[in-house]
Amino acid sequence: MIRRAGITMVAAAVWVGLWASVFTMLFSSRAEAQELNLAKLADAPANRVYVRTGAEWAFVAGAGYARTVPVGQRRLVLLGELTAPWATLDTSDYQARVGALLPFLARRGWQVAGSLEPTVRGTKNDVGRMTGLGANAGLTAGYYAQRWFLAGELGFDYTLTTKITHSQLYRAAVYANARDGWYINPGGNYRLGGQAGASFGNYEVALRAGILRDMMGGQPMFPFYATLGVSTSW
Amino acid sequence: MKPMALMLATLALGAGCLDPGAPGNLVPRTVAEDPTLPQVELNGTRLHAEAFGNPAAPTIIALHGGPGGDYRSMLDLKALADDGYRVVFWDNRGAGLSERHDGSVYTFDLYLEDLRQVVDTMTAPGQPFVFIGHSWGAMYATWFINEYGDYGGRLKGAILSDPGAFTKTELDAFMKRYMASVDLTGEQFNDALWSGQFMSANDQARADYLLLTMALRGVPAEHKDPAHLPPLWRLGAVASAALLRLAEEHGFDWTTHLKSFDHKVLFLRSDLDTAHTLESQQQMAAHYADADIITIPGVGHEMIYEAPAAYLAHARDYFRAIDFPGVAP
Repeated sequence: MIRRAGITMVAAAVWVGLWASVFTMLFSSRAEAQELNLAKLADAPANRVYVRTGAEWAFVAGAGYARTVPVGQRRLVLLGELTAPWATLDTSDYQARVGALLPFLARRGWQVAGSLEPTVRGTKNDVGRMTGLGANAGLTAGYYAQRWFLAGELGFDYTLTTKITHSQLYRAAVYANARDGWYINPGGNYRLGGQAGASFGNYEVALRAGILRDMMGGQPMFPFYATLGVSTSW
Repeated sequence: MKPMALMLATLALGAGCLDPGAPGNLVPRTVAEDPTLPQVELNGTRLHAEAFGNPAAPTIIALHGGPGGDYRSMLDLKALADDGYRVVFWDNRGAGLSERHDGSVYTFDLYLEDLRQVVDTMTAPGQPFVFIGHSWGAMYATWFINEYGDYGGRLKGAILSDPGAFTKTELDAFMKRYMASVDLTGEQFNDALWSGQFMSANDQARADYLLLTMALRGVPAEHKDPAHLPPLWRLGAVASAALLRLAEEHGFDWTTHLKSFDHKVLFLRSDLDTAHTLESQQQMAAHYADADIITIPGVGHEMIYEAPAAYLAHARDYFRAIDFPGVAP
């Protein structure tokens, strides 16, 4: 129990620290989008807005703003994004992320980049109202040309804690004594997939697709994701 | 000052957090976690089970839906104890409040043996009994009948409400209708998918809880009164997935000996359910030598909970028709 509480505190501190540093970077520097052509980072304008839609834990649509930051000889990409399911209008379902992506290996068009995105999510369903705090870590590796790119991606989306307030429906129909509160280490999900994109002047189109697995290797209810994004920079 | 505030916030978060896998937090405890629950131990597992009525009376064994559901929404059948029957309720292995097991434990042979041992444990030698099986429970009853017939003359009949399939071919057709009843762009489905980001199925408590985000309103979700949903104890996500996996991998045909079961069987069908169609119930009833189908008007799949009076009336008529009387309490 003591060990669990210790892990909780360390994890919470890491999460809060991540948010603080990314916010600081976002509002003091320049950034750009996540699924993007890394070959154009050095030349493309620093500001970028993007929209994306598809199936990723529901039918979703999202919009984001990103800037590029020079860090020595490298380019650090910072972003902020808001995503929501579009199947039905429900303002209680959302996901807000800020993040950073850093290409750290490059050789003859081949590049590898890592990303980290602290995340806040909300939902209201039959069981109750939930707010989740977590972080999404990713690794992208592929070939990036001036007009196109093709890459594989591997990621882990970890939820540090989820606050649950159970609904009256759940208490009446299932479990009257369900406990409300912050649940620590509720889980996380892996993703494995690929992304491909094309660049046209200041516009980019990118497609991502892959599979999802939970921490035990099991399949979520819909174990795939596929999104299409369009961005423009200036 | 700021690092101190951050540390205090972190400590507060750590101290107040709950463990999602701890018994009793998100979902009710099972019989393995709460010894005060009514239970029976057999075939290497502990089942949540209880019985009502005269122990020496002709027995009705209730089989709940799912796989992975529980008997809570069938409890109106307790009224039959006042008619002089013994009424037995139990949650399947890994479902409801019964003990949980790893998914690798499940086999078809094990699951069928569970039911046979429930019959032997909850009835006395020679005691006559019938099944009332709902949805998956109606399939389970048919599986038993196909394997054991009238069980040495003791099984006098069965009421089967909205079974899904008796063969793999019928199951494939049923699953198409079932999936068609799910609105892929609807809030219930998308809320359930979205919830997978807030928690993952790291243990059985979390797996059962996550399944509820999809199934609390029922699938199919047609109800007589959507404001009054049928209650349930707890879903068994691992058991449900294991049974479906076994069906997919091994196939099944539980109709090969049904014609030799020479007792009348009653199919009770819900009127509003779009997946359990009249045609499908007629197809399944035709596997039996003697079966009647009655549609209960204006009710959804959870017909026992939604229309207990009508259901009990049909059950009593059926027991008279098959000469299965109760005894004086």
